[in-house]
Amino acid sequence: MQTSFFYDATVGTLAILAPELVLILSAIAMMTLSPFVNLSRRLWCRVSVWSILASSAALFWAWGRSTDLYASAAINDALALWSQLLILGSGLLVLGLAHEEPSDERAAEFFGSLLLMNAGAMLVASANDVVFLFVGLELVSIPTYLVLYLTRRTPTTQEAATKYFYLSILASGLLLYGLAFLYGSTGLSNLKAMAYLSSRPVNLPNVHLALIAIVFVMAGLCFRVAAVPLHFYAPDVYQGSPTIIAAVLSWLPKAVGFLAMIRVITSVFSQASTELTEQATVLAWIIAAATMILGNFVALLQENLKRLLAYSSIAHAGYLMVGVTAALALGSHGSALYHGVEGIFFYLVAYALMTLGAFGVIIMLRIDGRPVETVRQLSGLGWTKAWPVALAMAVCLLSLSGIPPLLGFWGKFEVFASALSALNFDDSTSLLVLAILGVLNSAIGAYYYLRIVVLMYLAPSEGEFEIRGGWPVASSVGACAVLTVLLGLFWGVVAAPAREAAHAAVYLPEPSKIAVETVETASTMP
Amino acid sequence: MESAYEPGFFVRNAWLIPFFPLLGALVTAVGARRLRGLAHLPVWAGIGLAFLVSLGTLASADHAAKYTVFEWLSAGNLEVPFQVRVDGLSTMMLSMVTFVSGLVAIFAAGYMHGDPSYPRFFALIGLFVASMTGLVLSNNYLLTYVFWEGVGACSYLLIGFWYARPSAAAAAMKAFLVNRVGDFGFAIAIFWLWSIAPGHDLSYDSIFAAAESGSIPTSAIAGISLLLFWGATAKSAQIPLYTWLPDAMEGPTPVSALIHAATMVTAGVYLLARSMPMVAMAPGVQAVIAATGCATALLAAAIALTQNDLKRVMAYSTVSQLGYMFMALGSGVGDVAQLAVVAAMFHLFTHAFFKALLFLASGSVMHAMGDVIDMRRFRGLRHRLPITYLTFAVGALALAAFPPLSGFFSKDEVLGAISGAIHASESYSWVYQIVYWTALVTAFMTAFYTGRAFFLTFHGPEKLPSPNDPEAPPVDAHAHGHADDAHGHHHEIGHESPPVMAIPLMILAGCTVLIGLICLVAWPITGGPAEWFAGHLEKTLGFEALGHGEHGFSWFTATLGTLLGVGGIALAYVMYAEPGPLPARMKERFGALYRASLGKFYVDEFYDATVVAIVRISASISDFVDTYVVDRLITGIALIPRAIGRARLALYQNGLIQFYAASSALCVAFLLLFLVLLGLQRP
Amino acid sequence: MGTEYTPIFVFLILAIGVGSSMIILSASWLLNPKKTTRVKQMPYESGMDPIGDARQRFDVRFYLVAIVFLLFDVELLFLYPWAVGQWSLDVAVAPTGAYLAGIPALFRDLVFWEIFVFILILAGAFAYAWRKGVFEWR
Repeated sequence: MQTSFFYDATVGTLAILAPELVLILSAIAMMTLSPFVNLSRRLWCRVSVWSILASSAALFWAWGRSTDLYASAAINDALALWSQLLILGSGLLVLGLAHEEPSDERAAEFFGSLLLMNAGAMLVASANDVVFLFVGLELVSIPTYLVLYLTRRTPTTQEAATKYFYLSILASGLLLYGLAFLYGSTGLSNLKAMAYLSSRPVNLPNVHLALIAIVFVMAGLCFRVAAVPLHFYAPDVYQGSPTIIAAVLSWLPKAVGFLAMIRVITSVFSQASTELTEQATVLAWIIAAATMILGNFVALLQENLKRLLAYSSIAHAGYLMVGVTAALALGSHGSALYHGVEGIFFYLVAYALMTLGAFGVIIMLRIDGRPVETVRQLSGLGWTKAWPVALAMAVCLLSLSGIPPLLGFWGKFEVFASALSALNFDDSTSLLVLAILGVLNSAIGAYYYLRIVVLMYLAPSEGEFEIRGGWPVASSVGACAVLTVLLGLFWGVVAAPAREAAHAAVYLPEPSKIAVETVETASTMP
Repeated sequence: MESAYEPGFFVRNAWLIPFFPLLGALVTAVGARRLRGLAHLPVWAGIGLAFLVSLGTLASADHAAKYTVFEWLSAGNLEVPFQVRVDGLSTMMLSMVTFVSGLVAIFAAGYMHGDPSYPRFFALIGLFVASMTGLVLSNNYLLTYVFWEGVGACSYLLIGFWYARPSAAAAAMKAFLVNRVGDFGFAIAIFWLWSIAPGHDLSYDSIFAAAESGSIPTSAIAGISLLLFWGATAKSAQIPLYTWLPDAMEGPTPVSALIHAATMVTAGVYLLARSMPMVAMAPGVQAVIAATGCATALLAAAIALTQNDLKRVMAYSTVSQLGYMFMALGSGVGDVAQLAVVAAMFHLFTHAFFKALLFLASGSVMHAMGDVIDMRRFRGLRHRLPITYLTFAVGALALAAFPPLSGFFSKDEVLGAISGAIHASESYSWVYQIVYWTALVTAFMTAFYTGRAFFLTFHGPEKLPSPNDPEAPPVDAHAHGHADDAHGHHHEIGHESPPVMAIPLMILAGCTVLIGLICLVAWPITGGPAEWFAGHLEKTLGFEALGHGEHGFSWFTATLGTLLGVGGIALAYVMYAEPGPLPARMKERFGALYRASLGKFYVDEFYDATVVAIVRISASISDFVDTYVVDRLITGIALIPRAIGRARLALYQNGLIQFYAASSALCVAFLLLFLVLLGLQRP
Repeated sequence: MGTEYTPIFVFLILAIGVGSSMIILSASWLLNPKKTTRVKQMPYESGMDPIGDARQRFDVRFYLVAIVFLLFDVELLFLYPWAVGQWSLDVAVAPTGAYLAGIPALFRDLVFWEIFVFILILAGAFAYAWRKGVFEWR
């Protein structure tokens, strides 16, 4: 009886994982084949594009299949579905940007690693088990180390790769430590079951362990999203690594980190005992405030374009943390919880488009035959023959600084509105303060984004610009800019899935009898 | 009844009406370089297709006809669908707007030929038509407001089309600012509506239903109606916000014809007509509207009497005629409510044709005279410009309400509505009494200034503009001979316009005559000259609920109106058909009045001295505060993040991973400690 | 002969094997030519110097081999629990009660094919490493 219940859950999970499996298998096939055949990077890139498309098809095939939430290691709720679609879409954009990057002999490994990272991110999105979540996170990290080495081997990239590698290992350790405590505090590894348990009046078996778990898991994930106090690597690594890697690093780990936070922290603990939730909220509050302030303040000083975007990426992690704080703080108020998660998801969509677009522009542009490095080198871009690139850059930067009606504005709007929805409840001044801090920081942030726009349009150009990369890069950048505008105008297109995803994140049905029995049996095992 | 309604083909596809011109504008804008001299084609096609669809919607008009194209905004408890309403009022407006704009666009292809910014002009025209049709189609106040602003923006861009000319830039700025003042009223009205509307639903049907059922308090209805009227005064150039319209003549003449005669200025009238089911519940506001319209009509007519600039005469005449429309709208009290709306809209409808005709004809004159529009510098052009002469004559006669042209019937409807209001109004009867007689006086003045402009331009001894004319401005003046003004008038002056300009004139003249004929023919059949129009308009949301008492054709009003019109023209003929001493003698006799009229009653100067001065002073104060207080403060504050960033935060970014790892771990430890202490602190 | 004597045979074979190999080894030590050089005297002839600073540099090629070894070693370790579970009884009885011991019968096919794919991937990785020249000492 119980066995067949488990069996169904396992087979169901495998079916749900079809899209990830497609990606992983094609990545393995590509990598294994690469020493035996000699193909051009464009062909490998095309194969990768096809496997992403196949994975999307598998996603639609798997959509609607369901398993028991309390028995499966992976679920395909709306949060998983929309996040996976987002990741696959951004994967296509990244492939477009990256198609010229690696040399022919390393192309298969390079694109294979990109596919594996996407698969890992998708695993995290659908993870319903701490172990599974960790596997997904590592499946993002490990190919990242590889990719950092693969493209170019100069001292700077090696330094960047080394820094990323060691700090990432440290973060993974912290995370794993936290997850172990999480398991220790609940005796469960299934996340939905944990959430269910913590939402009961019975409370968690060991609250104090849970606090340690939250701190360490949060710390581990802070590295992925480049939030204080594990943000240090971001500027050095972004600046040192090839631009395409910086683009991937600024987007994918951040998405993964926040998806993991939704899965493992906000959804689990937002409805736990008030004391624990409060402590978690304070933690998220501190991280959010510190990250926003640090990212924006230091970004003001930056001259190097990639370094600037690194600090901007830190700042955006801060804005996203506001959503996490709101989701944690308002959990006990039912409907308010999904506001926070809705904000996070919406912001992630916006962030993907604008940050990939901005990095894409840097990838495209060369000045006097060399890549663009400093902010000043972009001067006068708006009035050269490369004006469409300048336009795309301007759109992305304006969106990053949160100018309406671009998508970035609505992202900030959703996140801060989620914090402000706390005004409806009594214990809320701290969130109000956080929202105000966020708005002030956006104002500071606008300075360094708009400075670039001003330079592009109002300063004389300092050299001869040329565009490289061909149509794939151009269409990726164009797609980012156009979608930023279009989705900004019709933001309901993003808001509806975001709301669905947020609802799904906190969906806790009554567990079936068999699931309860199974858990009980498991916990009485010697 | 509402639920039984099935949107028909044209109702479902009515969104195409704004879409086609928009598409045309986009194509023109994108393909500007390739199209060059053919830039008018996409816009022509767009407006043409929009006109065809509009004709289709005419037949499907129904007071319940609405269709949600897509969900546009959905934020919290604010839901604004992109919903179109295809009823009598909107289909009438749509057909009129697309038809007149189409003709103006055709005319403009000839008029603007050779202008360096030819494609920009047509892109803006397309955009304008899209906004205007969108305004008319939309089924809620917010969407209407969006397009309202779009129309305002297009008008700004078109008035300032020759932006290098300081006067054009100033006029555009003035139009924009004055319109902002009005938009402010409209915006407040929307906020108010939003706060009291059931379910925050801003769509017309729900608001009118709420107003009718009494769930919106009467005081709020009055307030909102007044605010809507405030918004309308700016767009439709009524006292006190009419001053921008005459200055707007700085734009290219087709723009004047399109925006400032036929379409955009009717937006305010349309808004009030659309809101009539609500506005009609506030009789006090109605009286204010009628009185304002009346005052505007009189004032503008008085100014038009003496202006020397042909286009300016037409501009003030537009203001005056819009005043008529507001008079009619304001008369919508009691059981003449429906009659009044019909009269206002009918006048709007006929006015659109003959005023567009007059403007285009003026443009034709201007074109032929090498951009000279001062009536003192040319005369007796009837032989040189025969087509312009004849078509202008038709337009002028219609404006003077000469039977049986369209203007006669519509002005008669307006007067009839006002006389009806005298009887229907309970407490404001005296207001309508004054309005009625003032309207008649204004009708006389209208006929007079129209005749004056007509005779001065086309009759008398022939005279063409020459730089040696004592009235000619100095050669180095900004307006003429300026580089940006050279839009291709290189041909010799004094020739009739090319067919592309002449044909729209003839079509518009034909329409003016035709509408009059329809009235004449339909009169015995339907029992009233404008019943065919009223029958269509009755299919408008909420209009069937408006009171519609018996209304017969009033021979007294008609005869009086006609006599006054003929009298005005006759007086003008006597004074101006041939050069004579009479005008000069009149000038002497009524010196003060003449100068006041010529100086536009110094309203602009008054505004400059009061409102503008106050604004300027407060602007200077704000500037001072901004520069020396706020800026210093901001710069000071902005220095803090940079200083902190430089002095503290950047120091920690030293590139050593041992340091990074250690400080990260330390931070995590501190956070944990802090949280544990926080937990302990709690009881 | 019963199975109870089997250990004796085993020990016998062991004794013979160890004894003979020791004889061969000492014979070779006795018979071989003894030319000692400095390099031959070092405990690890393959290149690592046991005397000196502990923080010396290693040739990176050692790491490559070591990692490949570790990888396959650890991966193969996973096969042991599976191999035990795959053919054990699925329910064992302990004093505290019944608990799962082997892989439940229902799962066995599924797990078998999973392991199959796992080994396939390992084989692929092996082929990749081989082809990339990881096993060549370059």
